[in-house]
Amino acid sequence: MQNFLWPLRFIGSRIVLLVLASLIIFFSMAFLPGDPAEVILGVDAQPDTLAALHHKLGLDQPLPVQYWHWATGFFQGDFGRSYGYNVPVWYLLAERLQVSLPLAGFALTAAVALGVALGVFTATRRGTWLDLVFMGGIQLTKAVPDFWLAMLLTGFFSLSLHWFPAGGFSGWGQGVGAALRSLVLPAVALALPQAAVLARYTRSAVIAVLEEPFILTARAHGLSERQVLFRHVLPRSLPSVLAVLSLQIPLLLSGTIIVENVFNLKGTGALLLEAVNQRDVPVVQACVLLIVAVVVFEKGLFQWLEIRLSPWLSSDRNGHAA
Amino acid sequence: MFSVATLRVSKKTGLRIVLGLALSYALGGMTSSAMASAQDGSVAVGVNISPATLDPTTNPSEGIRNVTYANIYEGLTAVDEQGAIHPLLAQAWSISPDGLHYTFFLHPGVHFHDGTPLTCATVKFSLDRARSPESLNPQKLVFENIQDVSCSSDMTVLVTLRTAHASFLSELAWADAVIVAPQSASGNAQHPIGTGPFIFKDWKRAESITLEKNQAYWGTPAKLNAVTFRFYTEPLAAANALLDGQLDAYPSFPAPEMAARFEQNSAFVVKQGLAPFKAMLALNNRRKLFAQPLVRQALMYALDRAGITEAMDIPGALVLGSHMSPENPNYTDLSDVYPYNPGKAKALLKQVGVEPGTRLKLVLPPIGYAHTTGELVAAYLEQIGLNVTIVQLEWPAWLAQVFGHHDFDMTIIAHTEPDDIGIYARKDYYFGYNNSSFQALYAAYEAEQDPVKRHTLSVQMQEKLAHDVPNVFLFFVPRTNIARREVKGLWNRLPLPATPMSNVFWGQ
Amino acid sequence: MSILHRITGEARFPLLGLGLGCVCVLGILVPGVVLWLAHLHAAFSINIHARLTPPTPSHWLGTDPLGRDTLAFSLVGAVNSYAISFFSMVLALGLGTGLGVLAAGTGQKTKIIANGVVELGIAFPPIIIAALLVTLCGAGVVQEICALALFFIPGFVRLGQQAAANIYAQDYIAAARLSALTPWRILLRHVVPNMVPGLLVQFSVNVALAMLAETGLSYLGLGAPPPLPELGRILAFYQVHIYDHPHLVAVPGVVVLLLVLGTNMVGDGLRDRFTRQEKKS
Repeated sequence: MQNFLWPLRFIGSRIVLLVLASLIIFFSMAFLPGDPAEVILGVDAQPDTLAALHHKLGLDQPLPVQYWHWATGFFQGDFGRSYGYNVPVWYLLAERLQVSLPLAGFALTAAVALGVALGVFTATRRGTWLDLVFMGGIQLTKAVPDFWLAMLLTGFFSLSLHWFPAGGFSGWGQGVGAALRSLVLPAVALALPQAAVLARYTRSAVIAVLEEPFILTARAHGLSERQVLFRHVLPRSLPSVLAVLSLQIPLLLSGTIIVENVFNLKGTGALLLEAVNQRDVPVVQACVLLIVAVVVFEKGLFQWLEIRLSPWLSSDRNGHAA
Repeated sequence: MFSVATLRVSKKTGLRIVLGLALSYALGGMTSSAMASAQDGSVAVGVNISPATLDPTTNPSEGIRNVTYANIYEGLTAVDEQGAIHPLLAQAWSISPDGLHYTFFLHPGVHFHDGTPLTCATVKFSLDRARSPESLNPQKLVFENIQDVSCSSDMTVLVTLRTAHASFLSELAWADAVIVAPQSASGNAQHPIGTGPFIFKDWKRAESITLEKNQAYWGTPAKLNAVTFRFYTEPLAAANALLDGQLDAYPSFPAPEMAARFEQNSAFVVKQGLAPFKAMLALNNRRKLFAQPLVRQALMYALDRAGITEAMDIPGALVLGSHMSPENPNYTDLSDVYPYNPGKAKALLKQVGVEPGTRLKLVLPPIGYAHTTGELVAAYLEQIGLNVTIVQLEWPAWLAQVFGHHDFDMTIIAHTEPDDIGIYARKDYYFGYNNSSFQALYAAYEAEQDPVKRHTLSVQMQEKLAHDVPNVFLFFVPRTNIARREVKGLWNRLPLPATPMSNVFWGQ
Repeated sequence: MSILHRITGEARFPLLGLGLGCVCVLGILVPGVVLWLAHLHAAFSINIHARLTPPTPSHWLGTDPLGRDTLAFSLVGAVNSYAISFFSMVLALGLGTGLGVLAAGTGQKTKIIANGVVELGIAFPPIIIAALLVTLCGAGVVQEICALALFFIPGFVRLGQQAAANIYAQDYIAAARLSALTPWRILLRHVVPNMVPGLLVQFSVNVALAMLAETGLSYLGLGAPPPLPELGRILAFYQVHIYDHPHLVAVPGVVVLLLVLGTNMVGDGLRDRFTRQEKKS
């Protein structure tokens, strides 16, 4: 019964959160000083041109009416029209996601691969000099500001060695290779600090599992270290690693603005900040709701994954013999 | 355990893919996009402001002008690099002695990119659209002075003005006055269609715009096959793109501090070009304090403007003494009317009765030079006993506060419009300078047709401002233009915001 | 090797990692505070006629594009940035854990509210929170502290709630309830004191994260206005000189790195110390 209700309650509460978020954004944008029409028409705008544009954008209506228009449109799948660009918002979003999604995916893959690998590696070699060198490196990486790292990476790998382009996204038109190549440096700048955090958590999780009595039992049963690691240790430590990961994904979605800037990438982060600075309310709404939606639903997904991956949490029947 | 097994595999391959990528690119070496563009006759140009729409007749953004003006759209008249007015879509014109009636004779055989021919009806449509009540034209004031537009033949346009306005021909060369066709005008914001030497091809918003050569151009065709404009918000990213070979040219390079690095590199040519630029500490003349000319003069004495200009780190930067920069033929050097003299500044303040420790708010727009200059200005004003608080605003808030509500003491801004000394005759403008003798001078200037007398009047206006200092005039900086050595034909001087590309070519 | 061992915070002598961390942080902050308090104008005031000079005995790392002492300016910037990060975490700790503990100790409704705050807070893009706040209230130190605190409140709510819930589940709380102690007394005498070690560790780790976030905000121009120096704005201002005067970009960057590294080491050292105590008891 509870299992049946859980998804419904989950989705219901997410929708409440989204509505709340949209209200917060809409009304805080409305209270910001500045006027989108003034931004578009600039310093020499005449009062009558301003009024004409206000009317065209629907800004001459009362705020609740504006919100209602936006909300009813949104539920019919119409995200509204950008004030500044004068095109449907979904069009802008689609354009920017072509940069943001590959970048986030690339960075996430790199962060997880590197972080988990380093975490397991150092945990199983705990106390050796390799462990110490890597852990020292991880501490350093955690402390580096990502945009500063990005500047250094560009200076070294693009301008001195010419291995990667210094910025911009070449687009998928010129081949997957060229596209991925233009994302290598920004993805590394984003992934390295994240990988460092992930490595530390993985390391602690693996060490904690390694110290549990059932590992001794497994070894006593004659399993090789490899088998112990992959069949017992990793499955047990994965849930806590996933929990950290679920907290890092939001950072990859919205925390990329500064690094995008350094590499002149035009992703959703840049679009959002630009839209706030132009008072382009429909774009701000859509971007924020997209990010909020991804984050709140991603959390549900991770909770579900955690339960699937740790059967001992849902029922004790299987125990650790699985 | 099934799920874990697959995760293990994907993790491993994931790592391998990342390492593989890094290695293959490490071995692959660099591409030379500059060479590639030379071969196919295209040029990649860096631009600072990304346009949101592409119709200069409904939006004042400099970004639109940089890309579209003289490339996609054309006006009845045109300016050359020196700022002189030339015929373009109007191959000739005549003006009645009272300066009210203009007759334009259109160039025959001009077609828009979609094949629409240019006739008097097109011109009438464009001008009527710009002056209509619902017009969003940024220079609506100019067009509202038009009383009537009529056609005496298909190729002859008669324009009647309400009051004589000697700058009308040069204003027709502005991007706000380009000629657009009735069928395509409403779509120009997204897909611009004009009469120019380049055709709009592709637009990745905020990233790049590509133009293609107009094979059926009515005049001398463009030398390049294609031009790509790329947009940069971060100066360092712009410099990196140029160094990396992603760009072939960058007019108005945003990090002139880095010009030295390009001067040392034989692949690039760095030039300083004149363009309108009047940086100033604008004062709110509506405030009681700044309504007093002696206080404004004290501020002029208080600032080491030569030092501030030097701190801009740009060769060719000049101290300004009035609201005109050296690209203008009427420019007169008035920079030493109030030389740096903090003692005199203090004395003047004392004479007027301004208490030491008087608090002033300096609001700054989000522009690099404003921040640096703002810090310097604040430091100098503190030295004469004023207490300056710096407030950084982002663009809409700054616009609303300074231009909308006139709610500021001081701000720092560079005016980049050509020949705009007339703003001091607008008493409701943001700095609120209301001086009847200046207004009289300006009215005389606008009514005068004779170039020599106009020059004299212009100098008189500059001198009036230099002594009265409605704003603290700071400095002029030239544009820093950087291009690969082989890229020829770019404009170096710039009388108005534009990047005309039709004469650009790859040379030796 | 044994030094490395200590740096990693895995030490048998946790005090050493903690000590090294303190040296990193204080080594930057103490000279910074001294410079600031002594108000050595000569060291970091504007002098446009001595711009970008090479290192001299009076300016160890030369001067910056406005003629200020590069090192002194960065150190004073470090003090500001660190103080802002520190106080924003004090605020986040107070508000966040407060709400978390309340949620743990009281009924379902507070829990729902707390959960909502956490989820919205995590989901809202941090830079937008900062941009909205700064635009609404103007740029300033207080606004920046609030914006940073807002990023971190959800984490502290969650932490406070979990830690308090764990303690409430202990037998001695049941015993206290039976002995008719009021809920407030239970909270203040039993719950809060037992949370302190965990919170202290989390606090120091978050100061390091806040420091990185603060640098990012001020780099984007969302920090406090000049003349107050902040490391992010210093970096943004110096970055165009990365190729002709690379030390201008290196100095503030390394200062950030050392402060964050040091703070993390302090956090790890504290954690080791507390876990050892726990094991002993």
